[in-house]
Amino acid sequence: MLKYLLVVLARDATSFCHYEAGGRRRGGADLIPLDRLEAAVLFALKNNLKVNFLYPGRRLGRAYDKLVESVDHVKIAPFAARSSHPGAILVVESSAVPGAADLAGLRGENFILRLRRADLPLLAAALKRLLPRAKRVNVVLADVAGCGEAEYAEYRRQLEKIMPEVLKLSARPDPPELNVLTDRPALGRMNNCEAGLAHLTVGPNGRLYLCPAFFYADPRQSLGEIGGEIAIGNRRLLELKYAPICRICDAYQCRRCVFLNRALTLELNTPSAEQCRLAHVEREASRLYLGRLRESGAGEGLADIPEIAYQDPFDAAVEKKMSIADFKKL
Amino acid sequence: MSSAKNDPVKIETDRSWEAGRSKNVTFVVTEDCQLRCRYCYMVGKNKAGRLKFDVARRAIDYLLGARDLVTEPSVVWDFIGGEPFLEVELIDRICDYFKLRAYELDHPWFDRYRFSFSTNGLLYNDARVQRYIAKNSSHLSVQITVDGTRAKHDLQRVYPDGRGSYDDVARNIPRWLEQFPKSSTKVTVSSDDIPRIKESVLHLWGLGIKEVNINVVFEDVWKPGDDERFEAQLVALADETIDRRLYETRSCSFFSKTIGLPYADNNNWCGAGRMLAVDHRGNFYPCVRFLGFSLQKRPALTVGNCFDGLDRNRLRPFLTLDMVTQSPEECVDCDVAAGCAWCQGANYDFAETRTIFQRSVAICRMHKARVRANNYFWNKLGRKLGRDLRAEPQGGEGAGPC
Amino acid sequence: MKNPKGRPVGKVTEAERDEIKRLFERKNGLAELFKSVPGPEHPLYDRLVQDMGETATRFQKWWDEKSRQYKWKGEAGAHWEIDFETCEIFLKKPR
Repeated sequence: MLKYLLVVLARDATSFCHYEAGGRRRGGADLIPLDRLEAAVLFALKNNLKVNFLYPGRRLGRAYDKLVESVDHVKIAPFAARSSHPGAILVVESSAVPGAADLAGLRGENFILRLRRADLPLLAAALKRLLPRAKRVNVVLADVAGCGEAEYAEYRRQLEKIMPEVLKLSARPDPPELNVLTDRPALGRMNNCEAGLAHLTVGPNGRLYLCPAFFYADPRQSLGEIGGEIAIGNRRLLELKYAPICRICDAYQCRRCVFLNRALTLELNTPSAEQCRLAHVEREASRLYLGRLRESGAGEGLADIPEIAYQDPFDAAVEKKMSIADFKKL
Repeated sequence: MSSAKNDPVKIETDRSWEAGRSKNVTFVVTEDCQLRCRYCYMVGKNKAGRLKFDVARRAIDYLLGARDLVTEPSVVWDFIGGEPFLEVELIDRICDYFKLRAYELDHPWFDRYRFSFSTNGLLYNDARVQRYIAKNSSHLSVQITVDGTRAKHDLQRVYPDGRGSYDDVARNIPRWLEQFPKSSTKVTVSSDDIPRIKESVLHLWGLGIKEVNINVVFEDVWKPGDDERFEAQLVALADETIDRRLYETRSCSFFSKTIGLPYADNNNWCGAGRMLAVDHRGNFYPCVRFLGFSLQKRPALTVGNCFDGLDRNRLRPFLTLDMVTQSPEECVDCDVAAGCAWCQGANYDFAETRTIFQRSVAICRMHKARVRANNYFWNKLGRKLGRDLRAEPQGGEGAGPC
Repeated sequence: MKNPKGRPVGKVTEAERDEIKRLFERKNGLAELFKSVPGPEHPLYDRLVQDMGETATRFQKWWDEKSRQYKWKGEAGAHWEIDFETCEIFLKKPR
């Protein structure tokens, strides 16, 4: 069921996920046309959808502001534009993690840390700065394709390195959440992105997409116009039930990004080795974190995360096909 | 050293060599062919797409070296085209190279390999082809495609000018059967062929081809009433097979003890992705049906190449593909589903979106017709022999290279 | 209906079958490889000749040992054959 709508307000709106946003075009129409924004807002109002507006690092003008404010919404904006968008989810690039001065005065913020592979060794340090100011930090690896053993090992090291800080902050009355460590212990089932199922995206051209990444990869991959018939061919392939690797997996915190699936394996329902290995680094780190949390006397009510023999659920899916009976129970 | 079965009912197909255990690697040596068969899925025949020896050598080197990814204990090297025997000298070099390298490397495939050919048979008596056969005789299987009677064969298997090819193939059959007495042929049935099925299978058996592998095309070519006509043909074939006791010495893949039951497992029918096809550019494909010239609507789907190796990510969908994920609910719940085939390449080509996870159901009514005729055959034969044949161990039908 | 191969004279284990199957395949493989090696100047020639001799010896040794061990019925001029699927041994008489 659709729950929210993502609206990319401009071609150069900040990326908050596994894709690269476009730059501004000289003399081109970079902003979403006002009539399309109005249609998006109307669509949200009529379908009980919350809206996430993706902002660029510049002001859009009063007409845009007025339309945005006419619907329940969340703003996602680059960190540099924080003063224009109080309460927004702030996107921090790993290449430009704000210093202490920039963070001073902030508290209870929602951050998205877009991490590049090259900056993996700086992850723990970046989180150490952000977490004390945060209500929640989502770490997103921006360039997943091509990750190898060295990256998995470094990611593991960095998550272990930040663990003491997360444990220390967990004693606070309002402990911050860190998606890649604290989500999995709290989850009893998959909690994925669900692009195309729980949300759709309105691109800066005013057309509908599965998510912003599909717009930036190829604007022709549109699902149609706002208000028209939404054409998601083989929609069932977005569902967990029809994803042979994911449906047997318990890395519940994984985004299960259908864009990366499509880009790397050519199929919407099949994750790449990189996605699975990274999600399992997080799962294993979360398991260690849960153990330490319990040692400190906390973590009551959280379910165990079992130890598993594989680092990639693909191996388990190949070894044993799900039975027809088990499939029907899903 | 025979592998014949100790059973008076031979009507089920024997399992192929190392069935299910070997790696099937298909070299598309040429995209050219002397014929323009009307049902052929290779719609883009041309003279330019010829495999070069250096590309084949790179592919062999890669596959012999990638022991972590290519783990099968044996290998079948398939040579297809177009028409493979157009390039028999190239094939001979490729085979020599494989044998030498596998031996040099002490690779386990040296002790377990076969060279396999699907040919139109037109060049079978060519001296170069015969030299090649003599040189590799203990590792060869050659399948000549004959579609049945002259009338049926010439309906589909024609030269570019429209002439039928039956007579040119038929004259090579005796030598082929002398050299490969256990050979089978592959027959493809399309809508127009239905009235000729019975006479064609009997004709092929009469030619001495004891094993007839026959299947309906996966394309959506079927007209209303085709299923009834198809069933009537198979029932007539069943009667003749039983009355003339042909089941004792002949086999036809239309009749199998295992089909027509609900699904017992969730396996994929097709071996695409476990197999590999190599084209003249050195690209790897999940099978030959994913090459550009085999596809009507979709772009080619590669899974790597002999220079950079296999793309493990692109193989993941193929290796985790199962029946339930790609099938409509009515197929999963179908009471007579077992034996209902599909082709991953055809599914990919006909799917609503670019995916291998949408099963084409174009043959549904034809499969159900086959099931009814198959039931008729086994029940009638069982009564004649006074045995419950379908309770006895099964023959060799199952997924594999098609 | 009779089995066209006649009655088996014995049976071997699957492991024994695998051993003779591998030797059989290797013997054939070496013989066919030999046709692709132009002559003694080829770097693999000596290794190949030696291997062919050793494989043939091991192949014959298997039949000698197994026929003694299982006491298969034999006949002058006849030879044994194995069915790789069933592991059964048949006595093949000259036509």
